Amino acid sequence: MLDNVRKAVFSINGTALFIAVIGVLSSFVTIFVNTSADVSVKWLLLSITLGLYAMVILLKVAHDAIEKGRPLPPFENPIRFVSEPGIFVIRKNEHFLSNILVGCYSQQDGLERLAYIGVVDHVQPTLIQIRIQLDLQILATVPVGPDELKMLEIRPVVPFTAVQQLIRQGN
Amino acid sequence: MNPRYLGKVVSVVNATTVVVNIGADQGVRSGQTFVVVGLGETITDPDTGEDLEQLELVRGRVEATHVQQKISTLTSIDVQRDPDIKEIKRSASAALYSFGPTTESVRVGLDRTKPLISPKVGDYIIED
Repeated sequence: MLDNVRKAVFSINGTALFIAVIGVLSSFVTIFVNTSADVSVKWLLLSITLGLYAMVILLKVAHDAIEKGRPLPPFENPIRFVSEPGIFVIRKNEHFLSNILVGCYSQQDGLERLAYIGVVDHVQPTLIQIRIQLDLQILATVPVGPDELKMLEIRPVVPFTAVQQLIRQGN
Repeated sequence: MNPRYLGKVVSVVNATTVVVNIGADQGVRSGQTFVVVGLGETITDPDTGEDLEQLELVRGRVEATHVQQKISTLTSIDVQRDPDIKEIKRSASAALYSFGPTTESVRVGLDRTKPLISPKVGDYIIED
């Protein structure tokens, strides 16, 4: 946490925020504060500046922490089907580890059915290839178009009965 | 070259063996395993329109079987198994009268080295 605060303060963003805080404060001072008053205005300004600066930095750190901690969804919609090797391509997602079985679920009219069993065949820096291992004949043709692919959801979860079917078929 | 790609295929010896342009000088050791990939189409994110990366077409997993200074010979280590064959032999009496000795035997399929899928000169190798 302290490291995050240090990084946020000593960065270009931190400097820009500092300048912004000074600008806002000076404009308020010009409008509302009588700097010739008996109160030591310079100390007052300094303390307000530092207080506002610290508050903004902490808000930024909190925002970054929330963004960083947000988990990826446990499913992916395929973005492409490549017919030649018979693979679905999905975006990189930490839930899909190399060589695991995955289920491709078809969603139509609010009904969800397991259409294919696949294997995470190859993991690239930003993409993952899912090889179809068993076609359960739920869909007449493999979805290819962008709208059809959005109806398919790939999850690293396969029902036990489907695994048994896979074994029976000798795949 | 992208640091992900350790070397390139410079010769295709046969369906299971290729030669690559990295060897002992680049730290390749005998028995080290790699994946041979060819580069396919560029995949675009349909939501953002951003080009993600080129699809890597996996040719197969290989092992360094012979390492020279600047080149190495890599051989496929993927295995494919022939289907098991079940044989049922009936004696003549069993065939005619539904009784008599019948023997069943299962010939277990052989494990064979799986050939690489269309390897080409210019394909890349990456860490396994």
